[in-house]
Parts: sequence; structure tokens; C-alpha cells
Amino acid sequence: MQEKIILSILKSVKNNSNLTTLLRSGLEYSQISHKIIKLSEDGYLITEEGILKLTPKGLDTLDRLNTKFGHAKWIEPDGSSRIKKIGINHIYIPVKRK
Amino acid sequence: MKKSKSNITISLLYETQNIFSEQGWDKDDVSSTFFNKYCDMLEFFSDDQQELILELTRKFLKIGLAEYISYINKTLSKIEKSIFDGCNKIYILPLIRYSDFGKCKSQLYIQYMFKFPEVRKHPVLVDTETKPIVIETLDSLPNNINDTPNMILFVDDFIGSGETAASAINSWITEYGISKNKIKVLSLIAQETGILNIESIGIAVYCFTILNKGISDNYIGNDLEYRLTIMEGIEDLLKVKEGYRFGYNHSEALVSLARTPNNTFPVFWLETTLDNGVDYKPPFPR
Repeated sequence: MQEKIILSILKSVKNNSNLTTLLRSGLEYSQISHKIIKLSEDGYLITEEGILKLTPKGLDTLDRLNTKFGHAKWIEPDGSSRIKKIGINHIYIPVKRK
Repeated sequence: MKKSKSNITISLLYETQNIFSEQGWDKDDVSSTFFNKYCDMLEFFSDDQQELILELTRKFLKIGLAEYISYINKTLSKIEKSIFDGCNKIYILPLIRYSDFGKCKSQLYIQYMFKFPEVRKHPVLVDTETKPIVIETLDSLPNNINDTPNMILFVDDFIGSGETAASAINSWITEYGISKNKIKVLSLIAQETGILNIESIGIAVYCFTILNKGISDNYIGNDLEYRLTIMEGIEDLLKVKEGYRFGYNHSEALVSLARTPNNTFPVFWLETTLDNGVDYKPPFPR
């Protein structure tokens, strides 16, 4: 599996992001799904209580590939702060973080 | 075709894959065409709507034409042999109105399968004295059945609300003069309401699987209200016509057979064009 694809999948799992990037790279849903299964079999991903997560090996690989492809220096969106789309008149108060 | 933006998260894709494995749908989907089509369908919906569709997908029953013989046999095995005691002949008829007999209706392929040895030699139908007769023309149906020990078995693959089925049976009783006690009904799948409807006219129904309402019979209180509201949103988006909302007669069925019944939630079968001009392609078109 190409390392850039591995990087893209590991990042997507970490942030539970959508499949836009992977689909734009020319993969079909089924191909992405098969790659997730392969990465799970190879110990990069694990399912805990039905949620797909990175294993320590997956986290290390993500760091290594981020460095290799230069992404570590980039400013990336913080997936954990992302919220669901809300209405234009909806008042949203962000959770205060220490 | 490259997507401008995907609405599917990686965890949702993973969940979809798991459901396909649990359902065994991946075995017949060697080229993954069906899986990709399913994901294409999910792209049309919001997170909440996708979650509900997947929740219902877990309960969905998909029976292909190739599995019909096995399902007919399983259904026949549910019949107590004693109901045909004393019968010499069991007349097999499609569950359609008397006036529709001879027309090309979907029930005919179930009836036709009773000609196959794998079905017609089922122990419930055959013993030293009894044998099944598939009725192809009304001439071959004796008009003195009421005076004989013989029986009629009406067959179908699906009974939804039971209104159409009950009306079909009534037409044979009133127009052809068959006594109720001569009639039994076999359907591979039936909804609870459909069985009650037919039993209310005094006819026994035998089926392999009984389905309840996909949402209303499975949740209560806020959980129910929440899901009903989400499904309404889905059906608003798909512009489902009144009468077919939540499936024909509000049946809330979750089943696809050789032809998907319109009693199933339309999100699974309705081909339509959305307000933005995009064609919506369901996974189980009729």
C-alpha cells in the first residue's frame, strides 16, 4: 500500500474525517474499506467499543509519515474541536478548555 | 467520477462494511458494486439520517430469487402436516384476485416453483395419498372442491398490510364460491399486520419470517419520536408521495425480495430526482 494512502487513512481515522481526500485520490469506497481492514490486520488500527482507533503502532506511523511527507510542519485543522453544522441563527458557545 | 465533497466519515464507512459482513452481502458482491452503490446512496444524507439508514440496514432482510426454493421449503416445513389430512390433492394457486387469474403477476413465479421437484416433493405436500397440483387454468380447478376433502394453498412471496391479500382471498370466496375452510395461505415473508388481517377473515397463514414495523415496533418514547422525525426528513428530501410514506400503508417494512415490495421504506427503493436535479439511486430499486 502506498505510504501516502496509509498516511491519509491514518489521519482520517484519527480525526474521523470524511472520505473526500481518499475519494479524490481515485479510490472507491470498497477499496478504502479493504485498506482499512488490511491496516487493522497489520496492527495499525483497532476497534474499541465499535469505534475505529489508531494503535500505538498506527500513531507512530502517522508521526513518521507526517514527518516524511512534511505535513508535521503544517498547521492542520484540529478534528477534536470540529462540531456538527449548525443553523445560521443558532448561538454556539465553545467549551472552555484549560 | 470524482466527488466534490464526501458526506461519509471513515467510521461510517467502516460501520457500513461491518453491516455488509454481518448480513453476508459481501459474499455475493465480489466486485463490490453493491457496496459502492450503497455508499453512493448514503452520500445524499446528513449524519443523523445516515445513522438511521444504517440502523435499519442491520435489520434489513434481503432474499434473492436464487434463494426462493430454499425459503419455500423452509416455509413448508412450518406447516403441520395434519392440516392436509385426508386430502388427495392440494391445489396451488397464486395469491391474486379471482378476476386477475391468468394475468402476469409476481405471485406466478412462486406458484411456478411448486412444479420443481425440490418443492413439490416436500413431505408436507406429498405422501402416499396426497399430491400438489399447480393450477394453470381455471378449467383444471374442480368447481366442487367444497364437497371434497381437497384443499387450496394460495402462495405469495410477501404479504404486507394484508389488505390486498385479504381482498384477493375474498374474491375467490364470493366470486368462485370456495369455502373458507378449504383455504390456506403460504407466504415466504409477511408483516404482522398482514397476518392479522387475513386471520381476521378466518384463514390460516404460514410464513417463514414475520416482520414487524421497522421503526414504530422497535422503539418507544423519545427514541421513537427522534427516529420518526429523521425518517420524515429523509422522505421530504426524496419527495415521497403521501400513501407511500414509511412504505405503502405505513408498513415500515425492511425487506427486499425478487422485487422489493413498496411496503419497504422508500429510501431503499424509490428512484427519484431531487430538487437540485440530481438523480437518487436507491440500493433496492423495484
